Amino acid sequence: MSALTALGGNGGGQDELAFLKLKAREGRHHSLATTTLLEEARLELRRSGNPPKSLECLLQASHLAAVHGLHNLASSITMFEGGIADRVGQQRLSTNAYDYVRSSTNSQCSISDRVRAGCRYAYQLARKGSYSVANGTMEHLHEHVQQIPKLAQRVAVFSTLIALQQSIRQWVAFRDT
Amino acid sequence: MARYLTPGKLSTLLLIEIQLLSDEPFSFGLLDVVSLHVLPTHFAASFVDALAEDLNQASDVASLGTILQALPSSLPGRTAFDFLLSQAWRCVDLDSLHGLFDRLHRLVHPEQAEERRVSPASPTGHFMRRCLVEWTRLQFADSLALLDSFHVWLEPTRARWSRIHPEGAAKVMDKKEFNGSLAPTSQTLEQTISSEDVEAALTHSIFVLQRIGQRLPAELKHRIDSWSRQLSSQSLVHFLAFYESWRAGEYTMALENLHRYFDYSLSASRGAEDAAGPRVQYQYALLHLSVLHADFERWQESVESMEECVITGMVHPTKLRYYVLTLLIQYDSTRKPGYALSAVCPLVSSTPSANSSQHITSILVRSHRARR
Repeated sequence: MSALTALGGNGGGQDELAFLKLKAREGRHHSLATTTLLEEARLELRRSGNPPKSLECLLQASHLAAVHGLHNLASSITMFEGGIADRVGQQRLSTNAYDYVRSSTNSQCSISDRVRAGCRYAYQLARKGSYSVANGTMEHLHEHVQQIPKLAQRVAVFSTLIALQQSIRQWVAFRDT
Repeated sequence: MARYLTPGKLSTLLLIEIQLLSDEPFSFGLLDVVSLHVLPTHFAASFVDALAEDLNQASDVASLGTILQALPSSLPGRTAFDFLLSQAWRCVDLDSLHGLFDRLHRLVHPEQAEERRVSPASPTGHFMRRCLVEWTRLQFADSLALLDSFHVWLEPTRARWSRIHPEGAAKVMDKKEFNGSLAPTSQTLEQTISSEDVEAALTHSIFVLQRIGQRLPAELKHRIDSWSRQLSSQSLVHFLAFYESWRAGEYTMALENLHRYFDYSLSASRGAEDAAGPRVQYQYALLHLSVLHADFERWQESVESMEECVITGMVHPTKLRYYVLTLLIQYDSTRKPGYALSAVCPLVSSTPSANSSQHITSILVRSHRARR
């Protein structure tokens, strides 16, 4: 508990993350260090809404994962990169990141990450007005998640969202004419 | 069910012999086919496809024939599959099987070192040595059962082989050992797959579900289920069922299968010399339970399981504490603020302190108060 006392923490995300980073550095637990950096990036984005600081943590995590061969974290990091790019309005970057994870056949990439990336990719396409490609992507995803209710639910929600967006735009276009 | 040797493995041994001794142009292609059977399939691009292909080739000669017929030989109209059939149809009695294993033994362990065609330490050499050991320890009745299942496995190729080698076919049919009644029975079908293959398939399936999160196709799952009923150890079967139920969103069945799996595992490890073994198993059980609860959004039960896991981890610190750590960070940032650090402190220290039990109790009391 000396470390806890030294950090003066009795709660509070920053103290906890600093403690965990310290322990990860001491014990050379690279996976723990990478996960802690990802959590720090998430907290930064959630609490202060500071994308540059969040991106800095993400790049550090990405570097650690690449250097120490933590391939199973690659898809999560790329998804996060896409999320930050989305937050700062760089849709082209975020679409590329989602497309990369979506089309990955790497054995380290979980189906959950691929479906999340596919849904966001399709939604980005729909926002650009490319509804047919977006619907095609969602149909392709739907075939893969039929046996997994949780993912099927996500795909159904995003399909509905895309259809809703298309309907609203058609209605607006009709009203203006 | 066979322990290790199956008709599929005998065919791989024959392919290895052909590949090592012949100068045919298909040798490199054959090495590729052999490596698919000898090396683990974890490097394949699609896990499910690789698993299905492995099981097909183990139980059916036709799928192996499809691959081998694409490898032409120096003889016009002949492929690597014809060479395999020629070799395989010579091994239709026990004497020829003994002869095959003697030849393989001489390939791995020749009298003179310069005659060695394959290194015993290579994957192929390792596979051959394992087969030789299994053949040596095979009981007579089991070797007869292996031979019968090999006959049944070869039966679909009889017409092709008789057309290519009519004299050889006539000679084989005249043998007393070859009784000609080659209709597959339940016993011979059981021999086409070994218990080790089934365990590997189960482990592979669990890996796919755990790492990728992808459920197995219904047909493949049905085949694995039917084979796994004959296994002596059922714990892996329940573990697979646990993941299947989890992915299918069946909370009650997942919980039940998890309990079954760890009951079987604990009873199996009770006789182990290592006293920490059951405790580690218990920790893993609690960790899985906690993750299961969390996935179905039962946060209270999840945190309780995690707390118990932390207490267990205090007594015998293992690598598991880092998994617990990662989960606690997740909880901390989502559902239970302030919980992670208090619970993590004793876990990350290298050895538990003298008053660790008092310490962890105070932490748990504090975390309970925080939740209220």
